[in-house]
Parts: sequence; structure tokens; C-alpha cells
Amino acid sequence: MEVSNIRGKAMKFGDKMNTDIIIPSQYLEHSDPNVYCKYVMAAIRPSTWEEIQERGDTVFIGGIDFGSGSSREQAPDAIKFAGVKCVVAESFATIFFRNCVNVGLPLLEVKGISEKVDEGDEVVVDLHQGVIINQTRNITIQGQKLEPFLLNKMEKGGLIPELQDYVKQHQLDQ
Amino acid sequence: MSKGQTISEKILSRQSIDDRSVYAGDRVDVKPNTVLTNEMLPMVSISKFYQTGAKKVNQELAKNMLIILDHGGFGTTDKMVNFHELTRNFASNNGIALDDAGSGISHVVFHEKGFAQPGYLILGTDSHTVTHGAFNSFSKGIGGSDLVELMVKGTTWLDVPETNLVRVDGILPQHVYSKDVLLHVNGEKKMTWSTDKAIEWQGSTIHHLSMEARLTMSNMAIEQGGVAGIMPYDDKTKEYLPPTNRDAFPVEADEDAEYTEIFEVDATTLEPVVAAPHSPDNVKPVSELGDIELDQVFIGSCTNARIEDFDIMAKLIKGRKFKTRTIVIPGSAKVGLEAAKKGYVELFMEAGATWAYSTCGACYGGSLGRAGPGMKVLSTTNRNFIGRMGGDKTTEVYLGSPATAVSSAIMGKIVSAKDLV
Repeated sequence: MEVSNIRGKAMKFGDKMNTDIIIPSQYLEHSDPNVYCKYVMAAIRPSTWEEIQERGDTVFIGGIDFGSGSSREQAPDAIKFAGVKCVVAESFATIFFRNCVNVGLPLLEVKGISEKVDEGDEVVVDLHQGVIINQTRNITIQGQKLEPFLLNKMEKGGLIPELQDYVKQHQLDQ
Repeated sequence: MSKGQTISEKILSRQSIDDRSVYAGDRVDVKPNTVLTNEMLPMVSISKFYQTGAKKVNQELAKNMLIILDHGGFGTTDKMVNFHELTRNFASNNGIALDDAGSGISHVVFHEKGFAQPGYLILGTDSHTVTHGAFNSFSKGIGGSDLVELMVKGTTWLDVPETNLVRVDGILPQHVYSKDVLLHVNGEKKMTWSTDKAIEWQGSTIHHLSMEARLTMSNMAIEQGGVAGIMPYDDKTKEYLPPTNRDAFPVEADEDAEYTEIFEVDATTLEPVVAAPHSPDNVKPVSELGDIELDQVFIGSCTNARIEDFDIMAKLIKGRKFKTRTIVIPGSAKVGLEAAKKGYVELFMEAGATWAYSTCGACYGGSLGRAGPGMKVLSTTNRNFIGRMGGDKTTEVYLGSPATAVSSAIMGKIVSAKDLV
């Protein structure tokens, strides 16, 4: 999975984008992420999925406490399957952060990011360096580098590919 | 000499697979004592489990796992009926205990069945798994893939958290309940103050509170961002635990344990409060709200639907009728049966309430009382985010105690039990 040269147009959200906003509960029954991703951010910006399809590669920019609330893993999956390449936010809620690593949705914590990126700006994210470059404004902003332990999981595409190796090694597929 | 440890550090040390002493900032491989799951299993984890190539759930884990079908209601949609049937087959093939739809809400059933014990490391695919911290355990929410890791390996990794300490002292004034204490702390400290951290509760007020009142507070540790909300162990813990052959390991923090922050609360100064739309930390005294007429009152959820909550409500009704449409959902079938035996079902229904079977219901926007645009709701649940209970930005959900909920149902507007004369 590409983690050092993630490119996209910024789509901005405010503070406290909780999991009930990211994927409201009534859509969870569509257990296929290719289906429920169409309702990503439905509670606050119902056109999100269509906008992403129109603009192409997208990077979400969020405020504080992005992903607070439920442990529903469908939240990062909805964002990922909608075509979002990375989530950059001021801060993340604990369970959501780990779920992003598990499903292979790149994320970066950057203090002050809300002030430094506008809607539609062209950005490049490099998780190895922990930086986001706003090409529209020609500035580079340093974020909180992901530790190698987590970055490694992310590069492999999340937890499931790692477990596939484990299952083979331990012959749990027999 | 070794450094003092918090309760979290002690529990995670005991459950570390290489049996080492761990401290905040360490990353540790652990084996949980018990594991909780719900519809996250059929909706996310079962397909991902088979994607790994694994055939059977780790047998030791299977023995310590409880599946409770609580979110999806009872035969609500064709899709949910299929998810439930998939779960029954998976549970039966792997020897995992299952409480079927209607048995109750996982964070009530789990402790009724003795799966929550002092000193336990409990992991569950629901953010309100923190509830079981009331039993002096380290109980934390995880994602659906984390559950897959547990089902494959029997172990997972955790970051040992720093701990914030909340010390509550003094006797609570009349009509002020543990929900008010918790919401007061939410209002003061806000939703991010314990992000990535555990919360420990101490103080004389905590020991005065019943176990059920403590469960309400631990339940909402996640609404302060907390990964766990841990209560001290005392005689009340011991007496409340159901008979079980599981071992208990009561834990106390060392005197020189390190806390990131200590927040003190004087219980004697508190008053009934609600969390106003759209956040559990937007907390206001009921006395300062003005007239807010209600369309619906929702009494239920893993936060406040245990028998003591119904005891409190029953004492306040005194033959009065509800002016507002009211739904009451017991926390479990066992709570429902006890309420029936105590005459509460009759009492609540005579007041005009709809009495439902046990499920998460509209708390998270499921069945039985979803709200719509423009509606105003008073709820005993834990979250009032936009759209959570249904509806949209124009839907207003207020969170309060069962006493505030039943008083508001009687008056048709948000009032506390103080205003019921």
C-alpha cells in the first residue's frame, strides 16, 4: 500500500466528526463496504460520496477528536471504500485510530491542520516523514509520525493480510 | 524498588503473555480473560475471519467469549434475521456461548452471566465495553478486525495507557444521581480529556453508590475519550457479582501510582443536569434550561436501564400519567422479569409508557423509538450526536438520569425530580 506519496484534493470537515456522522447506524445493515460507503458522512454532508466520485483522489481534513464514539470498524471502511486516500486531522479518538490501521486507511495527526488547508487544495501526504504538503499554498506541515510498528501494519494493507501470514505459518488453515 | 502501578498497569501486567511488569507507554501482548461481541461479529468479523484462511476460533478464547445479539432487535429486517442466523451457526460450530436476540443488552447480560470479574482484562467489539470497569476490571472497546485477531491467535496487543484520576467526595444531594455526577465531569473536562487514557474513580461518594450507579458512570468513560473507566473494589462489588466458578482478582492502585491528572469533585454541590444537543459534554443544569417541551422520552440502554433505575422511577410516579410519549426498555430480559415481579411493568404502562422487550433500541438509532427531524427527546442513554437516534441536525436529544426522564415524562417538558411536588 502506498503510504509515502498519497495525493489528493482536500475535503474539509470540522471538529468531533464522530462515527454516527461518518456512517449512521441505519446503513450498517449493508454489510458490504462497497455499498455502505455511499453513505459516508451522511449525517452532515450527504453528498460526500458523489463529490468524491467527481473530484477523484480525496484526502479528508478533520478537526479535533475525529472518529469519536462507536467502535464500528465500518467508519474507516466507509471512508476508505468511498475513495478517500488518507485522513489528516488535529486529533483522533483512540478506537478509530486503531481501526484505521487495521483496515489500512492511512491517517496522520497534524496540529493546526484546519488553518493550513482549504477545501479543494491539492495535498501530498508522506506517512514515512509524517508530513503533509499543501501544494496549493506551497507549504509543508509536520505531523505526528506514525510509529514503525503501526506504519508497518498499514503498509501491509492492515491486519487481515498480517493474519493471513500467521494462519499459514501456524497451519490454522488445515 | 519497583515503581508504583495504576490499576490498568497491574491488570495489563498480569495479562501480558510474557508475564512482565508494564507501565504507561509500554506496548504489550495480552491475553484477555473474557471477550464480548454483538452484531459486529456477523456484520464485520465473520467474513474477515474466513478471509484470514482460519477454520476454527481459538478454542481457549471461544470458552471465554460471549456473543449477545442486542443491537439488531428481534426479527426487525430480513438482513438482520440473516445476520442473527449466521451468528447462531458460527457460535454453535465454534463452541461459543450465545445470548440470542431479546436476552438483553450486552453490557447488562455480560455481567449478569459472570463474565465481568474484578481484575479482568475484558475486550469487546463495542465502545461501551468500558461499562465493566465498574467491576474493578480493565474493560475496553475494540474493532471488528481486533476481534478477528483474537479469534485467530487468542491474543492481541495493547498500549498501556496513562491514567486520569477522578476523586468524588461527599454525599449527593437529593434527586442527584450518578448520571449527574458523570455528566458534570463531562461538562467540566470535555470529550477529549481522557483520549488514549484510562480513568480511575476514587472517593467516598463512589463507595456510597450502588454497583448499578457505578455501572452508569463507567459506561460513559468513553464519552470522556477514556479507554477504560475503572471503579474501586469493595463489599458492594463482591455482593453484586453473580455466583460463578470464575476467579476474581481485586486490584488497588499503589499509593505511589502515577496519574496524569487528578480531578476532584465535591458531590455536595451537584445538581440535576442534562447533556444538551449535540454532544455528551454540552452539559447544563436542568434548572437553567427554560421550558423545553418534549415529543418523546426514551428510557433504556446499557447506561440506565437496570432494576435500580426502575426503582427510582417507580417511587416518583405516584399515580401520575405521562404527558409525553414514553418508551421503556429493560436492560435485559432478567431486569424485565424482575420489573414485572415488582409490579413496575403495570405501573409504567398505567402511566402511559410503552414497555418493550430488551434490546439497544433507539439508543443508537435502531428499532423502537427512532427520532425524526425537529423532534425533541429526553433520553437516559449515553450519546446525543447528530443523527445517532435517527433524524438530523434539527433533532434535539437531551441526556439525563432516569429520575429526570420520568419527571420530564410526567410534566411534558424537561424538569428534574426537584420540580415534581
